[in-house]
Amino acid sequence: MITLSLRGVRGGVGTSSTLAALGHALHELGQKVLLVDMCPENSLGLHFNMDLAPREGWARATLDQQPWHEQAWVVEPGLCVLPYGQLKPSEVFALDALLIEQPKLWTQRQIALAKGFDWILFDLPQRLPGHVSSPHCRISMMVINPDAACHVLLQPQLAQTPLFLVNRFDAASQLQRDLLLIWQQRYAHALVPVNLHADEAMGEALARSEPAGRYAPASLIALDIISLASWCLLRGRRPA
Amino acid sequence: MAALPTAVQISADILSRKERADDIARLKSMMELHALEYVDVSAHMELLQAFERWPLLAYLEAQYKKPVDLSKDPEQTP
Repeated sequence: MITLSLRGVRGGVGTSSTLAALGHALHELGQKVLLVDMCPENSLGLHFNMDLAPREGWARATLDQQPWHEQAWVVEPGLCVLPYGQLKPSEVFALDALLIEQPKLWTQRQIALAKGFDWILFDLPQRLPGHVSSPHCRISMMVINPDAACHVLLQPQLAQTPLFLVNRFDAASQLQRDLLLIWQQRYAHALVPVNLHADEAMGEALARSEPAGRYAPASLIALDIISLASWCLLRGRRPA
Repeated sequence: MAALPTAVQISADILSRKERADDIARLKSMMELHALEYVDVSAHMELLQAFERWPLLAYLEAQYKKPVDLSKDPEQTP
């Protein structure tokens, strides 16, 4: 079982859409995949035609001391989504404190889930340190867009983030080509060697409640995501 | 009869992925010119042009290099 997390360097860089598409692509490649929503927005399931903000989820169950693993939804055999559940803002902070207090909580859960899945993918929130640090993942990627704001935010993250994934790359943009050149020159070791291109199909897929690969299998972004999934498979098989 | 791998082939195998993709790094390794100070002028020029085009990127590039110097000389800090 391989664990992977995606976190945006800031909000709105396309983290959840990318995670949903990657989970779908890994499943298409024959893997058993569980996607875990670690964000209080509780909306990852919308990419898989699930209800808006389901009341039940792992976070709700953890606070209520109920069995958290019973909250997962089976999208199709071998592809499951574990929602966050509905929490009040004060409860989110209480849970974050709990996750900091019990740093091995998700590690123990990951061990318990190892038999059922080949991959567990975590959609991490941008803030909330307890939520962010709780799952200890084999592959941790930070999602960035090729814009100046992300460039500013990227530098302080370099020390603690092993991998950066470029999303929404538009090769027609001079600025984006220049930023990618600078990143390739300066941070070659930390850049995932697959860039995800800007593609209308990614936005349309969510509007259809589907991951990109199912909505538009021949689109540029679906092909990018398949490349990313293949790279993850190779990387995951490498000895830790 | 199978040929034994030559020294050149072995040295190419141990290069990192980035070096394998870099023709100049590969040539330096094959010719054993490790001390050769080669500068990829075109890549360097493109980078300089990028910094000329976007002043914020040039400013940040300079900022990121500064803190090391500042910590060495406390008098420079405000």
